[in-house]
Order: sequence, then C-alpha cells, then structure tokens
Amino acid sequence: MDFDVSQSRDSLPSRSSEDLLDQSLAPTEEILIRVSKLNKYFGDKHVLKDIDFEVHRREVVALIGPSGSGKSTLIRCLNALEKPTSGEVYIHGDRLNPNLSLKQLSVLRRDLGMVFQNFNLFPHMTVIQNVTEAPLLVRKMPKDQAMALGEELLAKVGLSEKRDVYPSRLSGGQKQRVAIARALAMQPRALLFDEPTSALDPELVGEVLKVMKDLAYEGSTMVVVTHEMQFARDVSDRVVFMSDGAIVEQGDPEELFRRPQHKRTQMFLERIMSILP
Amino acid sequence: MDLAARAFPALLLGAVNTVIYCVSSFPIALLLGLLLAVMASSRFIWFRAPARTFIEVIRGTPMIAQIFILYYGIGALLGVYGLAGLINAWTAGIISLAINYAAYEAEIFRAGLLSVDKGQTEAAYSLGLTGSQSFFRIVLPQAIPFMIPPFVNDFIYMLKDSAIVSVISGTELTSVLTFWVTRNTSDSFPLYFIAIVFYLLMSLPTSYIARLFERRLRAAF
Repeated sequence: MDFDVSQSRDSLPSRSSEDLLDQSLAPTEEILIRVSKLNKYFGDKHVLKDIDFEVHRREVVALIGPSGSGKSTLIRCLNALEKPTSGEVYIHGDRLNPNLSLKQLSVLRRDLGMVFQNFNLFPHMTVIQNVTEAPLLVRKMPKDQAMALGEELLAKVGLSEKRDVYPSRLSGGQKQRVAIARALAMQPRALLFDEPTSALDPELVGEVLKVMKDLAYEGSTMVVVTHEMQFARDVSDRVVFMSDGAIVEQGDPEELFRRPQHKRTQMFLERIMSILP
Repeated sequence: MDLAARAFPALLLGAVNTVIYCVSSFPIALLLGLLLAVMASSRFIWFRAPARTFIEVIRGTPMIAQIFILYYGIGALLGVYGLAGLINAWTAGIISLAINYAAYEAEIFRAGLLSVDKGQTEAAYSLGLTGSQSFFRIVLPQAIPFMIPPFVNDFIYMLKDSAIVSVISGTELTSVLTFWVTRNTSDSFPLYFIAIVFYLLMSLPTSYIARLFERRLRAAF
C-alpha cells in the first residue's frame, strides 16, 4: 500500500513539513482487521453481501455510500454490536466468533474503540468519569494513573476545562470530542467512527474533524463511516464505496474521487459533490 | 376525647407495626423485583418463563388468597418438619407483602431499564465492559431516577395494603383502628382522625424524602 502524502495531505495546515517526511506513520502491511465473506440479514433483507475487507495498521479507511448501503452495519459487525449471519471477522488475528460469551467478546472489543453518531456519552457521569470509567473498570488501572490519562486525553481533544461538567452541558461537538477521548482511553488498536459528525450542527463539524485529522496524522488506525467527502478525500488512505450492501469500488481517495470506475460510484459522487461548494 | 387518649397508645403501636411491616418487606420486594425484571428481559426462555409466570400469577390473584396459602398452607407444610414456628403473622405478612409487591416492582424495573437508550449499552460494550458491569454501572443508575416516583407510589400503597395482615392476626394500624371502632361505634370519629393523621405522618415524609432524592439524582443529567 502506497502512502502518498504529497497528493492529499499537503493542503492541511495542521501537519508540519517534518511530519510529512516521517514515513514511520505510514500504513503498514500488518492486517489489523480482516473481514471475509461477511453476510448480514435483517429478517429477509440482505444488508451485507459477501463483504471482503481489510484494514492495515496505521491505515485510515473511509467508508462512503448512500444511506442504507450497509456501511454502519459493516462497522458495527467489526466489534460485534451486530452479529453477522455468516462470514468471519478477525481482529488482530483473533476470530470474532458470534457464539462467544459476552465476557469473551468484551475482551476482544477492548482492541477497538468506537465513536457513535449519537455520542452515547454516559449522562450520569462527568466528562472525566466518562473517560476514566473503562480504564478503571476494565483495565483495573490505579485511580491516579487513570485520572492522569483522562486529563491528558481531554487536553488532546481540547476540553480540559470541561473535566467536571456533565455531558448535558456540552455542545454536540464537545460531546463527540469527549466520546473520542473516552474511546482512546482504552488505548485501542483501532478506532471505529460511525458517522461521527452526522448528528452535529454544521458549525460544529469542524472541531470534531480536526481531532480526527490529528489522530490520523499520529498514525492511528481508523475506519470512518462518513458523509464528509472532503474528509474522506483529504485524510483517508483508502476510500471504500458501498452500495446495496456490497463494496462497489475502493482505492486511493484522489483516484476514486477523480476517476470513479463504476457507474454507481459516479452517480453517487455527482449527486453529493453537486451540493458541495 | 377521653376515648382518643385511651386509644392513642394502641394506635401508635399499630402505626409502628405498619412501618415495620413495610420497611422490612419493601426492600425485599425491590431486590426480588429487580431479579425478576432481569430474568424477564433475558434472552433465555428458561429465565424468562418462570419470571413471567411468577409476575402474572402473583399480579393476577388476590393477595388475601396468597397470604392465607402462605400462612396456613406453607405453615402446615413446615409443621410436618417441626418448623411451624417459622411461620407467624410477622413472617407470613412480610413474605406475602414482599412477594406480592415484587411482581409489581419488577414491571417498574423493566419499564425503567427499557427507557435507557440502547446506545448506552452499546457504548459500554464497545469500551470492553462486561454485561454485568454495563448493567450496574451504566444502565441501572440511569434508570433509577425514573423509577423512584412509581416506587414511592407503591410504598405508600403498601403502607395501607399492609392492613391485610390482620386476616392472619397481624397487628397494625388499621386492625387496631377496627378493634377500637367496633367497641365504640357511636364515638368513632376521633379514632378515625388519629389513624388518618398517622397514615399521613408515614406517607408525607416518604414522598418528601423521595422527591429530594430524585431531584438530586436527576440534577446531574
């Protein structure tokens, strides 16, 4: 996999020129997530059709496509929030067997952080409690260590001053940044984003995308279901276009956006680009 | 007025007994209700079916029948093993109240737990929390503020419902009241008045404290 930074990433101000040369943050050959022959039915509805899909370490993959195309279902299958009807999901070599107990699944799920469209912050906990809950409970991290980690992550998403506030006092963008910090607190191998900006007011989308960009440049492995085409184009290493439960086309973002090979991709991009400035 | 003064100590004792019946049986009803609610929401039929059956049978049959069965039926059964002493008006009363109310509290728990967004459990699972961690740390704490008003409602009901223990010779406020009223039918008004004041003295602080508690829990989110 080529990591061509000159094409897509040089326009972004947050990345310094030194970083651009740092090839150690490029996607590796190591496969972190592997999906093979994945099928999912909701009743009679065939929502995922024979999906084969891989994510390499340090790779940022954008999943795009019309609504109802199965993107969210696919990403939810990756950490067993949905059970595939057939097919296999491997996380870092471990098979995500649908027959595993909740306890066994919880161990595998620690490897993947998830950020939801509707944030799903815990409303009865303060911001810092939201972030430290899983390290304390799941990792059994000592309290002072968890607090230090929580504060570091809140600083990273620019919300240090909100540490003792309840989520109801936060804007949507702030909520989503806390949710990202919460996912990072488990130090997962990869982050899954399920339409992280779709529930946000337009003026709040930027702050969340900025945090995601920073993560991408630090070499995080990310799978992002998104309708933000600019983000997919500028930040991702690979764009996967899905339609009707199948992967229609995937590849280098610049290539896919400029010269989509399939009719369906062309139609989708035309429709969505026509409303972009 | 003389009658009221004479009846007062007995009525007070009756009120204290009412409180003892309720304060002992309601927590048991809550715990059993939670267990039933969790079982009734289980994916596994062999958890779900017994819980549903229990809830429907208990809700669908009169408490007076349940209390008789427990007191005389189970009492006789235990008598066979020389354990008849275990069943008296206190134990039979408290157990019947607890069992009966558990069926109702279970449905309150179930409704409360259902009111918590599914996304909360998903977020907890995605962080690697186990089923019980996500239930006790994430879902239940969010459901409790919504369940307090119906719980308090039922507790206040129980304060009065506990009068049913009089059928197995339990002594509580209503049974003491009846005892005095039947002996003073021409002058019973002050007796009723005292009993009503006692009932209010039990229920009003309950409502007040519960509202305070609820407000504090809800203030956060």
